[in-house]
Amino acid sequence: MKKMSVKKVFMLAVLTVLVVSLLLTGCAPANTEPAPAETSTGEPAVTETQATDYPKRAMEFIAPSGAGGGWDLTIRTVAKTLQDTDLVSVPMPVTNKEGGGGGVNLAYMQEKKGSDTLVSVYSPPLILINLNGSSQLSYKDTTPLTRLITDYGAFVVSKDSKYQSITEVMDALKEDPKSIKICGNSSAGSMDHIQFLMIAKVAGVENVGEIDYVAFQDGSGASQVLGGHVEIFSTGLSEVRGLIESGDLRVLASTADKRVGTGVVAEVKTCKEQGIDATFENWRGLFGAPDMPDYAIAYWEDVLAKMVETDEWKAACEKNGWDDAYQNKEDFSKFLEQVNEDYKAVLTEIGMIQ
Amino acid sequence: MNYSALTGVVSIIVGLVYSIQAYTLPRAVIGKPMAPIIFPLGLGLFMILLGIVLVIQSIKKGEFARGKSTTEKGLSYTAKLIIFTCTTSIIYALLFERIGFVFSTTLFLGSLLYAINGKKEWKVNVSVAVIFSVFVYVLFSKLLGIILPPIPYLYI
Amino acid sequence: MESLIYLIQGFMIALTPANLMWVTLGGVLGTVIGMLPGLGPATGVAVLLPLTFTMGPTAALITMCGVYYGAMFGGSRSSILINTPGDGAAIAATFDGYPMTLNGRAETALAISGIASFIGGLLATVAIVFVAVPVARFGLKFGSAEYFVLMVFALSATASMSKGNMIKGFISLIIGLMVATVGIDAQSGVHRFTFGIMELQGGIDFLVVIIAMYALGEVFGTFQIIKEGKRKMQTKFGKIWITKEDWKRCIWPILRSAPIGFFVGTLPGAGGTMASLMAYNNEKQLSKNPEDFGKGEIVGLAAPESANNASSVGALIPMLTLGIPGSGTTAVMMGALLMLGLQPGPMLFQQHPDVAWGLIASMFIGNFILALINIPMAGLLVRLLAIPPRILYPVVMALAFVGTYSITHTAVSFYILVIFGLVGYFMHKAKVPTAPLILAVIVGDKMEQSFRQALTISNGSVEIFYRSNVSKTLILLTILSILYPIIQDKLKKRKAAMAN
Repeated sequence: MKKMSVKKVFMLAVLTVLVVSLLLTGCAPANTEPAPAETSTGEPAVTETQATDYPKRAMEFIAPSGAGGGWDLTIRTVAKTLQDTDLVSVPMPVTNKEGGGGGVNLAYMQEKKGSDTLVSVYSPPLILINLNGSSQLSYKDTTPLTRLITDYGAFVVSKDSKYQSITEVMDALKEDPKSIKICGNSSAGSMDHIQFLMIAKVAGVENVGEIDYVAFQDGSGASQVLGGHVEIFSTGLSEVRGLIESGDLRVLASTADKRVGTGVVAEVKTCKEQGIDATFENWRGLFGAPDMPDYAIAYWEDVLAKMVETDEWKAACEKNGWDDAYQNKEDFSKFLEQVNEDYKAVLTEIGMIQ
Repeated sequence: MNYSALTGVVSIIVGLVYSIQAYTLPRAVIGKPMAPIIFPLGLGLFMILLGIVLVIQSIKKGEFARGKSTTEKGLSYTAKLIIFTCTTSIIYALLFERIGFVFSTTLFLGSLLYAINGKKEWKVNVSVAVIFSVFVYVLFSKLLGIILPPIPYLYI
Repeated sequence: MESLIYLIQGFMIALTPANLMWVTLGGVLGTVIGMLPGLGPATGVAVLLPLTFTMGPTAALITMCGVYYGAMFGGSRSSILINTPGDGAAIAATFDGYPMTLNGRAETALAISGIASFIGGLLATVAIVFVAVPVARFGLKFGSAEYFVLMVFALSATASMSKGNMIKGFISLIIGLMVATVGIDAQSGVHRFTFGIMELQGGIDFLVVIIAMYALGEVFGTFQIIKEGKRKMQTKFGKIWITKEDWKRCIWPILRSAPIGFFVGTLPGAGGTMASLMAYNNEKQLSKNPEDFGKGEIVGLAAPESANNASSVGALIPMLTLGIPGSGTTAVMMGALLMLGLQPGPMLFQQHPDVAWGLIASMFIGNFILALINIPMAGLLVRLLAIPPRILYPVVMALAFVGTYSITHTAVSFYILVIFGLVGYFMHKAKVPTAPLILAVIVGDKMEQSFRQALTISNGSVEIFYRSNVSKTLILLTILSILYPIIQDKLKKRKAAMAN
């Protein structure tokens, strides 16, 4: 019977906690999202104390995709580097908020307007989902913090392909846009598709909208090209490194403006070298919630500028085949404005924007 | 009407609504304009066809008009409980991200237990609900790193 | 036999006490994760990602293997005991596993599931040592057209197997295909049936549909029974083992299903769900009494369990040999490899033979250890059934919601869960089979996309669908799978007439 009473006491305790906490939340204002530094809506009152002891609680790092993808890898590497180098002492747990090609997280960031704890990672899809109509929100609805790294597009063929250079491909497409099929791992109108069209347009292919693009969303693009089912695979340079090293795949051209990487990757010719004056960058940068308080922006600008100089970060970039492409907040904002116009031009050309 | 005939009728309605929705989808600007529409439209039409066949089958068997009446007096226990569960689930969905996982789940599981296990066993109900919510929260958010909505203002 | 030497070296790496501890810990953790509805191997491995930072590559991979295997073992535990599949690949285990539990044979079901999983996994691991590279090369022959024919084969086999009313089987199939069309169409970027809801752009996750149909739909259907207290809780528990007779009946189905699972697993995008359902269909067709399937036929549990684990091993092949992840889980594992600074692909075996072979060796060890810890664990788990259904079922429902949130990270999916719970309940009431719907939700999108990819590639010519030998073979199999039940029926009737 003693057991019973212990149970009862325990239950009573639990009940009390429950009731008290329910009352607490009941009394809370309708907006129960954790407000930044306890300030409600409107301009956060920036005081010196807030600025000096920031950050005092855990950050909320978000990868807008599932675990294991490029965004996830980037933000986890950032969190680890910041932790290992003691640049940031508060915990930085990474949450995966996938859906809508990043749009779901973008909508979530609006809910967290003014938050000083939210940091998320994005890349060109941030702009593309807005332009192609998937999301009403754009990069303007975030606080761009810094550009960190960039990967470049690569146009890849199987080792037995008859094409030796990107110009041969473009010449064939000029004659008949249906003669070569392009495939990629993202859906039509998204990154893998657009990067090819941007290059093709500069190369002088008319009606780039006529070029057929085959989307393999489960990541099987590489195996389709290996098996000879599709001619050209439009992808990221670092994604096919293993198959390039083994010689199973050949890269016709990269979209970088210079040679990058080491080993076989460094042997890849750029489009520019082959006479097509165009580049495409798969940049990745960090973004805060809209209206992120100034003290938080200043803090992260400073910390991230320090981080990219560390050996740990450089080693991580080397390991992952990332090209360091650091830009501070001001330059990054200008850059985003520019690429927004570039993508818009291509999407208008193929009719996705009327 | 028996269930077979009812299934047929429902299939026809679902097929019709879906086909109309499919037909009014925006045309594609990349590739052939009708390409994303043909498959759904075919599905809708096939569904209508299957529904008609099912209805005809049950008319032939003479079940359509006869059948046992499905309108019982009042709502059955099952129906009541299903309506209760669904309503609770919707409230749960609304509260989940607002008041955090632990409280919303305690309320949700508590009310389900109240409905199914009965109010006499309220002690068991409350303890199961609380222990489950706290245990799952600790397991997921703290040990597995699958972040569930935290308790507002407490950040734990 | 260079590979054997490497394998032995791999064993020496994997068999150190520390690594053994990791694989065991991983296995237990994986089993627990796998049992939770919606949390499958992909989540299990993802959970480990942050931990891999602190471990060495070999230890990290070995632990991950343990988790992967554990989740595969664990996934079917909840299918058998509470009719709630831990992940897609464990659906087939509900077909006969749960009826076995209802018949009071939960112990046997858990035992055969563990044994079949063990044998399936073992055979597949042996296969990976010897045929990994040729199999991966053969998988490359599957272009869009071949995938389309493969999907048609899987769907037609499942739909034609639904005994009773074939029309209802097709209705179920069509509903599933309709669900699969929700989301952004990859080939054109058109939003289909998303109604402006951002969360629907990526489509409806099949796991949410499965959890809804099984966990919620099932509970809805049993409210009356629970109230009347007709569903007895089990109080006495037997030994977790099987009889000699069960063993004799199951051994061939287990051995037959492993290669099916292994091969289907190696195809990117096909995965464990399809593998286990194909094995189930196959056994049902070969069985002398197919009408027992779905009522607690032990063979109907053994076959998909074997195929399921074999496919989980097969899925590693495209990742290890080509650097192409074939499933959600292997995608996460590849992410982990990248974080460890290893580039999966053809060069992995040459540049890092210690890691690659250490991984394969730890798959052997993981398989043995999981089989060892699973039998005593099953003895504990079966005691779940001692919880009165009036308490167990609400908890299962709450778990269904937690699982859904951990897949989608949004409470919006709760509405989807409720809707499909109701759909599942009414389908159950109207005696419309649910298996075709589930399979259609899983493969529907890929089927349509493959069809359109193939037509784009061929500039609109349908000849592409029967050009290759692979598709010819698959078309033949499809025809056979439809005709076989009909012929079997006719033969039976003739036999009966002869007897008279």
